[in-house]
Amino acid sequence: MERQRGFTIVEVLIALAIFTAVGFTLLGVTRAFVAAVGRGATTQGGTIALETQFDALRSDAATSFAVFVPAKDVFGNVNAVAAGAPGHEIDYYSKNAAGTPVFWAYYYDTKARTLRRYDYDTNGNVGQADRATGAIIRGRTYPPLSLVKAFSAHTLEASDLVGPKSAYAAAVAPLFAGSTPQPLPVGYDDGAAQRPDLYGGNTTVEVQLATARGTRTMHLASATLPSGFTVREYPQLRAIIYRQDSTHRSWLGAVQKSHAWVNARLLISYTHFTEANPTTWCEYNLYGNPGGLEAPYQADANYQAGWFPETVAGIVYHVINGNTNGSACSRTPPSPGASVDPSSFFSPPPDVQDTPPPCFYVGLCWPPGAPPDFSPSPAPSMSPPPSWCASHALSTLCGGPGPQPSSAPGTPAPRHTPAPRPMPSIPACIHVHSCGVGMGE
Amino acid sequence: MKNTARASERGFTLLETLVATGMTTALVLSVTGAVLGSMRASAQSGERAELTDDALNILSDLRQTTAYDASALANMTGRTVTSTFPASTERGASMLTATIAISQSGPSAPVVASVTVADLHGVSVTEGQTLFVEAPPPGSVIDEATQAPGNGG
Repeated sequence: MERQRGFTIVEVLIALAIFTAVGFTLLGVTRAFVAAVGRGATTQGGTIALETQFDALRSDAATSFAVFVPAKDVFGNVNAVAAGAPGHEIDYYSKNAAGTPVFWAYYYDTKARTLRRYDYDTNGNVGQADRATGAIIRGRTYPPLSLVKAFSAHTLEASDLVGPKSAYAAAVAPLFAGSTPQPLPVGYDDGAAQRPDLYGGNTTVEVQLATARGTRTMHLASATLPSGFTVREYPQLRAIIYRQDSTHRSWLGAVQKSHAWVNARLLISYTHFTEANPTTWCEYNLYGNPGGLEAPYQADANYQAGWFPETVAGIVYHVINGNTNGSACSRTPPSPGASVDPSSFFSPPPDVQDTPPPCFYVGLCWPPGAPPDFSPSPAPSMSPPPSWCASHALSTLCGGPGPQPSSAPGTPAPRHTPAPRPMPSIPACIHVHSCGVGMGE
Repeated sequence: MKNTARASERGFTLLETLVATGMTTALVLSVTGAVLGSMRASAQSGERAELTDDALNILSDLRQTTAYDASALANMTGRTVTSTFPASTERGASMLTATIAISQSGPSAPVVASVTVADLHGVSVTEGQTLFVEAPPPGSVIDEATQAPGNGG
């Protein structure tokens, strides 16, 4: 029998070494492969869930009047301690076909690490809205997005978008050439009362959502500016604002005291939308007068010197938003471009004489420094820039181009409005007497 | 018969073993390469998703900052700016590049913003949006009932 030759010890050792090396390599590759597949499955699932959630947040914004960070969450707990503070919930506001306010929220449960949508109404009902009636069904919930490691939302004003608060400021700011966009929030009531935290306009809500997939950042804003309300028409204004510098003299002229009055005739017509020639003009006081703007015109109403900077902006604020009840209507408005005879509606006391004689010029559109309530809290108080003024209704008071009727998809046309038309220009109808130097007290 | 049996009892030569091992290794490596390629594609997909977020966020910011400011929108129309901004911490300390082009094809045509965001790996995403101006009352409290024409006066 022929003797069969086996492997030599060298061959066996070499083979063992090779198999060992290859084996370990393959083992490592296999383990990495399995781990990668596992991670891939997890990532894929997380990515899909995250993308779905992001799509939902964005599409909801596209159908809302306002995206906001509420002061309290749907369960009544503190959400954002102050305007701009981060919260664990983001809310949306819109209206249904019947005009009923509709609210919904994305609430992050820090313990369960879930993000879940809740519908709610102003009566404290939280749950899921019935598709047919819109009524909130308590106890019914939407499926949550699980495995959310973190979620936060906070408000960015328009001015923040080119500042250090925004991650994208470096990209956006160069287009503004040093100027700062103005925050112009638009507030809403909730169907019963105004909510300070419910506002849209040009505010943005930044959302950060972290999952195993990573952290994603999203800037959300309502798709319809200003938050779903489209200004199609403006009240027609005829206004004369003037300042009168006067001096009280007494003690045979040995003592005198200077005064500055700012007075106005401000008439507004709301009927020009439907009538070629407005027939109803309502006269208002300057904002801040004893009776307020809503009160009927008072001949003796006047402003102290320090109040003047807020006069024009205050008028604008309240004219556009003011309650017209109680105003004195059916007045004869001043003609466009008219000057004013102060004595026609203002009789200075006998010891007052004008110093110097009245003279008028086309005045400021927006004086620097708007009143504190020009932009309601939490917006900072500041004047709109001239560029804003030039494109808005009140610019007509300064001979500007006036408003352009605009429309937004899905915005119902105003009642009694057959066709929007631009407001006619009223050039030079603000006259400010500024001949006096220095406004005495 | 004897030769056949003897041949069948013969083991693999070292050469045969090495060839087989090499083929197996090549197969495993090719599969691994495919898997790694898929993982890279997945990572790039995630990267693109984040860049898309950035582009959409920039567009949203542009829209919000110009919606009430016709002058600002007019001033930036026709301009193209390229700038860098820091990526989020998730993507390390790298910088991203944003190219924003604001264009208008005609006086009555809409103003269109195009944003391209690119990272250092050459991955880029472009998104676009129309910018327009609306004129709301500043600081308004919207109450449609009292805003409706005819209610005043």
